[in-house]
Amino acid sequence: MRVLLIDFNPFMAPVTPISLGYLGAVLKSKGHEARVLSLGSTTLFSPAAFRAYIKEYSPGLVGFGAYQRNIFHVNALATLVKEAAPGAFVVLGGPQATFLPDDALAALTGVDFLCRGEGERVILAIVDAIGSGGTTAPLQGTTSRNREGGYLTGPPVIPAANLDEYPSPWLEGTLDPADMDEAIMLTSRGCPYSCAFCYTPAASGRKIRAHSVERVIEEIAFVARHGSGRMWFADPNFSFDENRVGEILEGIARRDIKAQMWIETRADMLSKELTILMKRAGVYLVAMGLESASENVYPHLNKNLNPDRIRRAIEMAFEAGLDVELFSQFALPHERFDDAMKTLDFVKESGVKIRGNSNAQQMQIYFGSQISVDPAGYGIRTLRESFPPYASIGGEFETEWLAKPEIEKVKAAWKAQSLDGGKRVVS
Amino acid sequence: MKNNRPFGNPPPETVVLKLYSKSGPGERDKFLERLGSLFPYLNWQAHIFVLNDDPVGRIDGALEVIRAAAGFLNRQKLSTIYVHPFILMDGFGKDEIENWGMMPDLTEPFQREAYEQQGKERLFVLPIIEPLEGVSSESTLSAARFFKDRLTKPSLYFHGKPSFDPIAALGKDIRVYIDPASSPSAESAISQLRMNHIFENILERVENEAAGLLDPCRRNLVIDEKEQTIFSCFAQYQNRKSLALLECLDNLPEKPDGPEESNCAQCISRSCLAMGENLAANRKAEEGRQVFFRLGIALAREGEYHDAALHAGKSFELSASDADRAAALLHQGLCHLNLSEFEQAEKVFKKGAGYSIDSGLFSYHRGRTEFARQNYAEAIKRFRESLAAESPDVPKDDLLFNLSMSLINVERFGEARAYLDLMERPTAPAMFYQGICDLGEGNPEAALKRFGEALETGPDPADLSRVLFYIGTCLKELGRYAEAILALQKASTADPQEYLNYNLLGFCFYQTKRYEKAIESLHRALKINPASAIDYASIGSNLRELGRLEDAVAMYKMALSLDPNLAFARENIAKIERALRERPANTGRGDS
Repeated sequence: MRVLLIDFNPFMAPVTPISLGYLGAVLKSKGHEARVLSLGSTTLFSPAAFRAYIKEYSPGLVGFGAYQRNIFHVNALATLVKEAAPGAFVVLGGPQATFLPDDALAALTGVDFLCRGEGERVILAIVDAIGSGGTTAPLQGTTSRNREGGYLTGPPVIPAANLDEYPSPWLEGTLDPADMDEAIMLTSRGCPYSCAFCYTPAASGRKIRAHSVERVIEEIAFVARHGSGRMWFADPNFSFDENRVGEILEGIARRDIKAQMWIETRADMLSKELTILMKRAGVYLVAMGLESASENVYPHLNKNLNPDRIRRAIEMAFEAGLDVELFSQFALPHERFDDAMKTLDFVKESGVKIRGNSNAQQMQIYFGSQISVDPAGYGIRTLRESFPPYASIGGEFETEWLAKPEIEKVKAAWKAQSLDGGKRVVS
Repeated sequence: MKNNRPFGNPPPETVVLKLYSKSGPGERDKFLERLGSLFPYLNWQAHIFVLNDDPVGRIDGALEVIRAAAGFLNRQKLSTIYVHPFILMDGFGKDEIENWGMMPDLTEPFQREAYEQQGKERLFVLPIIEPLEGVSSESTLSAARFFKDRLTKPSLYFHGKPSFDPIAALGKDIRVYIDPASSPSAESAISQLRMNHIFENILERVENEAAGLLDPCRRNLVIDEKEQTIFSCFAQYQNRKSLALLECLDNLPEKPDGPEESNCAQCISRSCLAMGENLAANRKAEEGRQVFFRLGIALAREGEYHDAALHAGKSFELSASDADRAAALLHQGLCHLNLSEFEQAEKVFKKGAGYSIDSGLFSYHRGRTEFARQNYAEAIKRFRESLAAESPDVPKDDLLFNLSMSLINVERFGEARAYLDLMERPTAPAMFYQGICDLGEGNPEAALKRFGEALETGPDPADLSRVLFYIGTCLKELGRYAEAILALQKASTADPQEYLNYNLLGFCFYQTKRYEKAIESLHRALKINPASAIDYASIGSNLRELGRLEDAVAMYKMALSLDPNLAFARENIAKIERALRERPANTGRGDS
C-alpha cells in the first residue's frame, strides 16, 4: 500500500519528522511504499497543489503527526486529502492523538483513525486492516467511528521492548540527512519520572527504552557523513544511563565522527566526567529542565530536582566548555508573582543566556499530563467554558495564585530580559 | 529541512488587484468569481493588495474582495489571507469611522475561530492609509489608531517625507511608504509595492544567509480589472507584458500562456536602489546597508559592475561604523576598477583608506588601479606601501607579483626578479616573468631555464605560444637558431594568429640560410600585420640572398613606402642597384 506521512507545523519552519520517519521505515520493511513530508510555515504550497499531489500519489493511507498547535490545520489538510482521494484513510498520531477523547473524531471530519500510543505497530495494523477491507472492527491501538455514529476503540498496543526491532529511518533511507540543516535523532524513548505538567510519563508508562549503543553510533556516523553534522537529540533524558551514554560518546570520539550535538537531559543525570566526555564527542549544548527555582513551587511538580542541583550541573557544563539552555515555565501550580521572578533571577544569575529555549513560557496543559486530568485539583481555572473536543486547555487558564494579568506581567518581565525578544515557539 | 518545495514550483504569495472604479455590478461579480477561483492556487499564506485605478477614497471594492476572501476561507480551513486595502483619506470623521469599520468587522469570525482554536487568525485586514494633500498629521494618526484599536496593523503611505515621525508616534509595527510622486496614482503605488516587496524578499535572504540573492523573488501577480489581464510579476506589469487574460481563471488548473521571462537580477537591483526614504522612515537603515552590500557583491559576481558600484555606494551612505564604510568603499572601488573607471576607483580607494584600519589593503588596490592605467611608478609606490603595511587581507604572493610586473614595465628587471623570488608559491606566470627579468638583464641562458620551468607547468594554449616564443627568443640570442626554429614552429602551432612567432621565425631561417622558408614565414607575418615594413624589408634581404635582386629592390621599396626611416632598406637598394649597374651585360637576366 502507498502511505503518505505528513508533519505540518504552521508556525515554525519544517523540521526533521523523526517519528514519521520511524513509521515510514517500518512500513517499507513490510513491503509498503511510504513517503514522508515535512511542511512548515516557510513551505510554499497552495491548497490546489496539495490536492493535485494527493491525487497523483493516490495513497491508501495518510498519516499526520498531531499536537495542540497544529491540529486545526491538520484537520484542514485531512479534509483536502479526502476531497482529492475519497478512498484514502486518514490517521492522526502523536501525543495529542494518543490522549484525545473519542468524541474528538466528531469534530475532526477528515480523520478516520486516532492512533493511541506508539505508532510503529499501530500503523501496520491499520494498513493490514485497510488492505483486507476490515476497518469496521476495533483495531489495536486505535479509535475509529462505527456505522452508528459511535466509536470503536481497540485494546492498547504493546510497544516493542527492544527499540532496535524498529528499522532505522536513517540507515534504511526513509529520511535523508542531506535534506536537512540539522537532523533530529532519537536514541531512547520514555521517562521514569512523573512531572505533573508532562504527558511523557503517561505516554511511556514511565519506562525508558533505548536503542543499542551500536545502532546509535551507526546512525550518528551515517547522519554525520551524509548531512551537515548538526544533530538535535530528542531523547527526553539523553544521559539516563551513564554507562550507555558514556559508551556512545566514547564511540563517537574513537571513530572521530564529526558531529555537533544538542542534547537534553536532567541535571541530576550529569557528572563532571560525563560533561568532559560530551565536549570531547562534539556535544555543544546541554538543555535541562529547571521549570521553577522557587521552593514554593518545585516540590509540587513531582520533578524531584532542586535548584541547587541544577546550579551545580550548569557549572559543570560551563567548566567543560558546553553551552547550556534551561527550560522554565510560569503559571505553575502554587506559583505567585514573586516565585515566578525568583525563577527569572535564577536564570539570570546562572550565566545562561536568556534566548531561544531559555526564554520561559507559560505552562501549557496538554492531554495526558496529570494536571490535564484534574486541573481544578492543581488550582487551574480555565478562561473559557468549553474547548473544541480536540483541543486541551493549553495556555487558556489562570491559577489560584496567578491571575491572567499577572501572568502577562511575568511574560513581559521575561521578554524584557530576553536577548532575542522572547522568540520561543510553543510546540 | 532544506527541500522546501515538495509540490514543485512555488505558488504566488502576493497579488495586487488594480480595481476598475467604473466596473458595473455584473462585471464586478464576474471579476470576483474569477478571483475566487484563483484563491486555491495561491500560497496557503497569501497577501492581497487592493487599489483603485481612480484615486478616490472608495473602499467598496476592497470590501468586496475581503468578503470574497472570507468566503473562501470559510470553505477551506488551511489558508490564511492578508488583505491590504489602500484607503485614500481626505479627513477622519464620523463617515470614515462608519465606513472603514466594516473592514475589520469582516474579520471578526476569524478572530473568534483563532480564539477557540488557540491559534492565529486566518483573515487579516491591514489597511494602507494614504492621506491626501492637506490632511493634518492629527487626522492621519487618528485614522491609524482607529485601526490599531481594532487589532489590525495599518500602514501609512505618504507622498514625500511626512512632517512627523510615524514610527515614533505609532510604534515599530507600523509600516511607512514614502512615495516621491507628488500625487496618488495606482501606477506609483504599484511601483512602491514592487520595491518594498523585493527589498523585503532580499532582506529575508540576507538574514537567512540564503544562496541565490539574485534568483527570482517570491512569486507575485498583478491583476488589472479594467484591462482584464494578469501579469506574472510587478516587473512584467510595469513593462506591460501580460501573462494572460483574466478569463483564463475560468479554466484553472490549465496553465495560462504568456511571457514569463524577465531580467530578475536587474529588477532586484533597480528596485532596491529605488527604496530611497523608505528605509529611514521604517528604521531600516542597517537592514538596507546589509542588503545593498550583499547585493553589490552578488551583482559583481555576475559581472554587473555598474549596478554593483551603485549598491556599494548606497551601503556606504547607510553605514554607521567605519569598518562598514571601509568595506563598502573597498567594494565600490573594485567595481570601478573592473569597469576601467580608474579615476573614480582611485578616488574611492583613497577615501576608503581613511576609514579602514587596514591601510595596506587599500594601498594594494590603489596600486592595481595605477598599474591598470599604466602609471607604473605610482603603482610601485602603492605596492611598496602595501608590502610595508603587512595587511592580513592582501595575498602576499599576489602583491609581490603585481609589484614585479610594475617594475618589469619600467625595465627594473633586477628588483622585479628579487620580488618574484620572494613568492612563497611561485605560479607559472611568476616563473615566466622571472625569465623575462633574466632576458631583460641580458642573461638568455638563465632565462631559458626559467621559461623551460614555466613550460613544464603545462600552460594553456594562449600562454603556451608566449612561453615558446620566449624560449625561441633566448635560443636566438644564444645563436642556437635551429632549436629556436623548432620552438617557434611549436609556438605558431599553439597560436596561429600570433604575429611575433612568424617574424622571429623569418629571422632564424635567414640566419640558417633557409631563405625560401624565411620568405614563407615573413609572408605569414604580413598576413597578420600587413603594415609591417620590417617584414617587407626582411623578405627583400632573403630575395637578395637568393639572387632575385630586382624582386628584392621591389620589397625594399615597399618597406620604405610604409616606413621611410628604414635606413638599411635604403642602403641595400643602393647596393643592389650599384651591383646591377656593374654587372657584365652577358650575365643579365635569362643567361644562366
